[in-house]
Amino acid sequence: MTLLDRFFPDTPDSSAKLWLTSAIVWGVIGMTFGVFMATQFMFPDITKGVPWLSFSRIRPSHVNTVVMSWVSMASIGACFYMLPRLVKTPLYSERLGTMTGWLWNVFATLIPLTLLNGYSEGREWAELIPPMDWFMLILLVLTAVNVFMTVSRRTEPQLYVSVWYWMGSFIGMSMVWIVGNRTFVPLDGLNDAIANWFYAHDVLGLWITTMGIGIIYFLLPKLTVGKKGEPGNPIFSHKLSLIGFWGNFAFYTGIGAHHIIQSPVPEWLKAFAIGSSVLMSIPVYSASVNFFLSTQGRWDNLAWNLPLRFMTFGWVMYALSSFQGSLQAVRSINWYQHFTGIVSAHAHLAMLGGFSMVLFSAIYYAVPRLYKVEWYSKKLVVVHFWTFSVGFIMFFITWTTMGFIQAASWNMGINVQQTVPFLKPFVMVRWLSATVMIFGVYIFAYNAIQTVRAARRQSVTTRASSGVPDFAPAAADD
Amino acid sequence: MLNARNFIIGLAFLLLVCGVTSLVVIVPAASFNPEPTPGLRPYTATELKGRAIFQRENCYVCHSQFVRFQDEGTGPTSQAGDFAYDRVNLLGTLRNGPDLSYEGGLYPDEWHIGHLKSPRSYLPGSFMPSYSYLNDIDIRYLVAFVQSLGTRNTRAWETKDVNVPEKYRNLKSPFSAANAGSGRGIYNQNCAACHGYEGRADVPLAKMFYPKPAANFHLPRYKDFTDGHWYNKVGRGVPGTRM
Repeated sequence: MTLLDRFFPDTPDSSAKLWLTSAIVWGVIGMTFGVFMATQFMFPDITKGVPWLSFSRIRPSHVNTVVMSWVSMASIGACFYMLPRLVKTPLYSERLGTMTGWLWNVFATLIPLTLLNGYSEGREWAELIPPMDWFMLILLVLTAVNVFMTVSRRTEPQLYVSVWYWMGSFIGMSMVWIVGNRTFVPLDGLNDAIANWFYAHDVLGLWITTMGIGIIYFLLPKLTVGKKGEPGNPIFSHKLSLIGFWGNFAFYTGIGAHHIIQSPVPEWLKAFAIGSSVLMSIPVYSASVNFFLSTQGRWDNLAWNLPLRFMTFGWVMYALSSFQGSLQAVRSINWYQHFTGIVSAHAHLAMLGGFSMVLFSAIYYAVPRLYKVEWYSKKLVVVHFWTFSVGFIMFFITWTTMGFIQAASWNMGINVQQTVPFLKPFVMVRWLSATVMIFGVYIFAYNAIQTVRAARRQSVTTRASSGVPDFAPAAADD
Repeated sequence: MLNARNFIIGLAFLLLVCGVTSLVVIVPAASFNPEPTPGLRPYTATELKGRAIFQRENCYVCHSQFVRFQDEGTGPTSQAGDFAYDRVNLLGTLRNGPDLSYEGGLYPDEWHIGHLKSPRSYLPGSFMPSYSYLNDIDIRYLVAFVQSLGTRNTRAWETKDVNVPEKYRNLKSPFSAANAGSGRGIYNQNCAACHGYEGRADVPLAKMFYPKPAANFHLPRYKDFTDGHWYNKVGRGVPGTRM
């Protein structure tokens, strides 16, 4: 076994393993940043005098770690696991996949290192400095090459809807990255803001959402398999899923400007963004209805199939957050609630309650099949679900209430400083619920570590005997 | 498997996504170049250094920098030309702290320096992080930048009372300073309990209230307020306070 094989293995599914396990680490780190910030709202002087633990430096690290490290790595890992099974072809190059995985880990390490040390561009969500932007672009291209080459070599001619979504995501994300980071397209003043919010919203819309929906479409037929092994439900309607696909890419692309509806940017742009935001209900509802009807007849699976439980929670939250998003973009609602905590709570509804849950589900589904072991503890999975979901609902309601208090106060003419004392109790509940949630995430990470360790022990004993790769395209639909 | 059908679908997808992107980013960049607001001056070198520190410390995550029509009491509504000299936008999307568009001139430099180092000594209950780790020069630069906000723009001061409702805005007091004695009696009866007999808020009630009543009417900035502003404050009160 050479060093190359040790770190960049060529064996089937090695990249999916690397990406998913790395994602767990980054998920823990990214969410810990978040809880730390919630603590700082309670005790603002807790890190007084330490520049790299200052709230304002942790906040971009939190955003970028969660988006670019946790969600992105988990989505790509899930894609690397699911794509070969859908197109019935091994991944184009496992070695390229593992190399990109390690490089992405380097990138993910550099995110907090640069931002916490004060290397920030100062553009909300797009804080990473130019060398990092180039680095990310290279990584995206390397990953996309792997995905597209796999699809082009496929032995299954019919492309399942997930593959459509994933291919679209890679094209969309590369474009969003190039246009959204001013390293490649320099712009000034308000045009900078327009591109900034295009980036900030479309990294969600053309990357996280579409990757996540692809994962849901893959998991639905697998997780609706009956308890006695009855076949799972097929997707209710492929037409609906394609309406969702085209609608998502047509309408999500243009909605960035709804963050700056009340700033002096061109009116036609605001109108276009609002129109697109409202029209987003078409792909969102077609996808949600499709998910709902595809689960019909197997709702009892929620009682025992834990990944399905995570995934259903996730897509329901996604549907709710999109419903909220369409409403919030309308001028008559936006003027009231913009700048308040409602917006931040909405972002967490999609990212934390929605796609993080879907990705937990994907990890819970994929890890036992990748490592050929059962989860270390089923009870801990249940604990993870309940702490995370109950904590999240508390968290969301608290933060939204804070937002309503802010909105009501400001619109009565009470200024921002005077509103702060009213928020104090809610800040405390938000901190508590965040602690409950992070407890669930730590349990999840512990469970994953123990599972992978058990798999390692198993493989050490059986490695000598197994010379045949355990990947067989025909038996892909396990 | 690149047959004609897949090729057309792929092309349609690319055209769709790139087309919408150019419409919402490239078309504005080409067509939307507002002139600087009359009276707006560019940043000085010192202010730009302060702006770089503002960006480095990511202050924009809590402090937005555009004023909306309904943000009463902050300043005039932002116009496109106000942002003409901004190289990196700092608009922001969340107000955990107040909007900073017109922060310049509201407080003296010393207040800002002390507040940055120890926010809760100046505004009890605030949850702004302390920036005591910035060195003195950086803090000076940062304060220079904050003081430039709004004050680079003469329009801001000419139309300071734009957010005072129409009902009060153009009211003028019919009395001259010679009538001040009559006003004194009304003040003693209605205002002095909180604001103090000399307008210095040196009475027990003033110490108890949070938010605090205006602490010192002898500050020069109170002399800049128009009559309409005072009619508004006295007639409507200050929401969120006992006033």
